[in-house]
Amino acid sequence: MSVRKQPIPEIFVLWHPEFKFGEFLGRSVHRWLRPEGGGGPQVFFRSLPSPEMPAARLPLPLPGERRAGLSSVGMGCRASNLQVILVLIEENMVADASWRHWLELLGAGKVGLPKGVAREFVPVAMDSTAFNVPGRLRELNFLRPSGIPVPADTRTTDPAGRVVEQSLLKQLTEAFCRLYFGRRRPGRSSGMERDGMPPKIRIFLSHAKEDGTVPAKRLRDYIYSQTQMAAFYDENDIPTSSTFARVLDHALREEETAALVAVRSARYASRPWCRREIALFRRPRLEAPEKGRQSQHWRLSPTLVVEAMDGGKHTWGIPELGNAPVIGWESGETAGHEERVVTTLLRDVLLAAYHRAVGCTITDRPGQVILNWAPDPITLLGIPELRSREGRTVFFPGRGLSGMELGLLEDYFPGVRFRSFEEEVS
Amino acid sequence: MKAKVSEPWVVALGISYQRANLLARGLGLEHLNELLTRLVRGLLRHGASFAYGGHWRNEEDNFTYELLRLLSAEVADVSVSARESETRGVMPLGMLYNHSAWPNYLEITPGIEARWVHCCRIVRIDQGHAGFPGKEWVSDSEVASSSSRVLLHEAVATGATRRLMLERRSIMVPGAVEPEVIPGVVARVVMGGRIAGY
Repeated sequence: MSVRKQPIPEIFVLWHPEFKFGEFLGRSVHRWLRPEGGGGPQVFFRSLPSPEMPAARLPLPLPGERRAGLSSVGMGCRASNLQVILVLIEENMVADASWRHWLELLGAGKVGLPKGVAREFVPVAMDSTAFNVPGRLRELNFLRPSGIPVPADTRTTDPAGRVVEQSLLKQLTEAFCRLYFGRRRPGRSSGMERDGMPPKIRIFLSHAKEDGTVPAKRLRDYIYSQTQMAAFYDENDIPTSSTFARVLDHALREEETAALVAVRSARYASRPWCRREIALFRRPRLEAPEKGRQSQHWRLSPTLVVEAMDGGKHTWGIPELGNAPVIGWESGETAGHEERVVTTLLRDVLLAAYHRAVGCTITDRPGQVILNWAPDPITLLGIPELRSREGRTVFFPGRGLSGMELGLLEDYFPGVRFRSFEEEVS
Repeated sequence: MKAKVSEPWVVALGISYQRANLLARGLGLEHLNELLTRLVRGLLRHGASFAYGGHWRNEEDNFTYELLRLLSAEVADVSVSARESETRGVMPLGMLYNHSAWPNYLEITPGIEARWVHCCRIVRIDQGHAGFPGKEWVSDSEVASSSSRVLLHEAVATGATRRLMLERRSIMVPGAVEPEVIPGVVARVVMGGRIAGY
C-alpha cells in the first residue's frame, strides 16, 4: 500500500454513562495512542448525553452524523481519513434502547460521514451480554480483554482493572497493526478485519552475549509464543566476519526489520557489534520520491531501549541511541513484563506508520524535510540535506518540542526551522 | 528558546476540569492538558508570562505543576539571580505569577517556593489587601475551624485577588533599592470551565 493511501485514523471511544470503568479505559486509550510529546491519532469520547440534548440520552454526534436539533461536529485533525469507533459494550449499553438504536444505525451505515472519510468498528466485549448488541456490530470480531467482567467500582489503578487495561491495549494495538500491515479478507468491507496472517513484523533483538542474554531470550520466546511477529536473535554468537556483516546488514534493512530492541546491559556499550547494529538501524532512510513532490520524506523505524543494568553497575552512554525511549527490565519473573515491552514496541511501530502517513499530507513545498520520528541531533546528522544546507524546514510528529529541546536543535542546525505536525495539520 | 518580542505581557489562565462538563463534549482531562501545553508554549515563545491562581496540592486535576514544568522547560537557562535583577523595575519573561489569596497561601511551604523560584513568583493577597483593617483580621490558627468568619474573609480575599491581579503593582523588597514589579494582566484565557463548586 502506498504511504499516501495509508489510513490516518481518528478514534472515538464509546461507553455507556453507567459503565464507570469505561471512562478509565477511554482515558487509557488516549494516553496509549498519544504518548506525551509524541502525538498519535486523535482520541475522543462519546458517553455522557450531549449537553444540547440531554433528554435524548445519546452522546454528542460523531463527525458527519446529522441529528435533528444538533449542530454537526468536525473531525479533530483535517488529515484524518478514517473514523475508528471503539465500542466498550456491556450490559448497560445493551439494555439501553436509545444506545441500541444508535448502534444499529451506526452498524448499518445509516449515520453520515465527512467526505473522504471511512468508518471502522472495533467492538469490545466487556461482559457476556456484549454479544447481544444489535445489528452488524454483533457479526464483527470482538476484542475480549482478559479479566472481564470487572466489578462496577473498578479503576485502572486497581490490580483487576490493570489486567483489563493492559489486555485491551495489547489487543487494540494488534488490531491497528492489522489495519496498517494486514491483508484484507476477500469480500470483507471492514479494514480492521483482516486475515490473521499479515506479513510478519520482525523485531531485531540487539544484546551483549556476556550479560544481556536473559532479557533477550525471554523477549524472543514471548514473541514466538504469544505474537505473530518474528525475532532476529543471534543465538550462536557468530564470529566477526564479512559473512556475518552481510547477514546483519540484511536483517537490519528497513524492509526486513520493523523495530529494534536494544537490551542495554553493563557490557552493551563496549561491544562493537552491538554498536554497529544500533548505528545501522538508527540511520534515517530517504523514502523514494513521489513524482512531482519536492519535499524529502525520511523515515526511521522505532528503537526501544530495555534498561537491564544491575544496580550499582557502571557503563557508558551510547550517543547513537539519541532520544530512543527506554523501558526498565524487571529481572524477576514478573507476569506480563515481556508483554509490556513488546506491546510498547508494537505501539511505536504503529505510531511510526501513522506519522509516515500524516507526513504525506503536509502541503508540498521546496526545502522541506519531513520526518516520522521526534528529532534529535544524532539522527538529524544522518540527513545530508540538513548538514550542508540552510533554509530548510523540518516537520516532525507530535505536539512539538520544549524550548530547551528546540534551542538545542537550533544551536546544532542553524538556519533550520522546526515545526511539529500538529502545528501544521490540525 | 528565544523570546521573539521585547515587551513582556501577562496572560491570566483560568483552567479547571469539571469531568461531566467536558465528557459530555467528548473530551477528558488529557485533552485539557494537551490544549494547555499548546497554548502556553505558543504564548511563551511570543514573550508572555502567566498569572494562575491554582493551589499547590499534587492532584491530577491541578494544573500548577504542569504549568511550572512547561515554563521550566522553556526558560531553564535563566538563573534565579538574573531573574531577580530583571524584576527590579523591569518585567521578566516567561514567569508564572501565582496569586494566592488568604488563607490558601498558608499551605505554601518555603520548600515549594524555593523549588520553583526560578520560574514562579508567589504573590500573597492577605486580608489587608482585601480591605480588612488589621484589628478585624482572622488569625491563621482559626482557619481549620471553617467558621463563617473564615469563609467570609476567604471569599473577600479571593475576590480581591481577582481584582488585584489586573493591576501593575510594586512590592518593596527589604534591602533592595528598586521595588519588585508584579505586572498586571492584559488578557485572560479560560479553558475547561467549572460551572459549579467554585
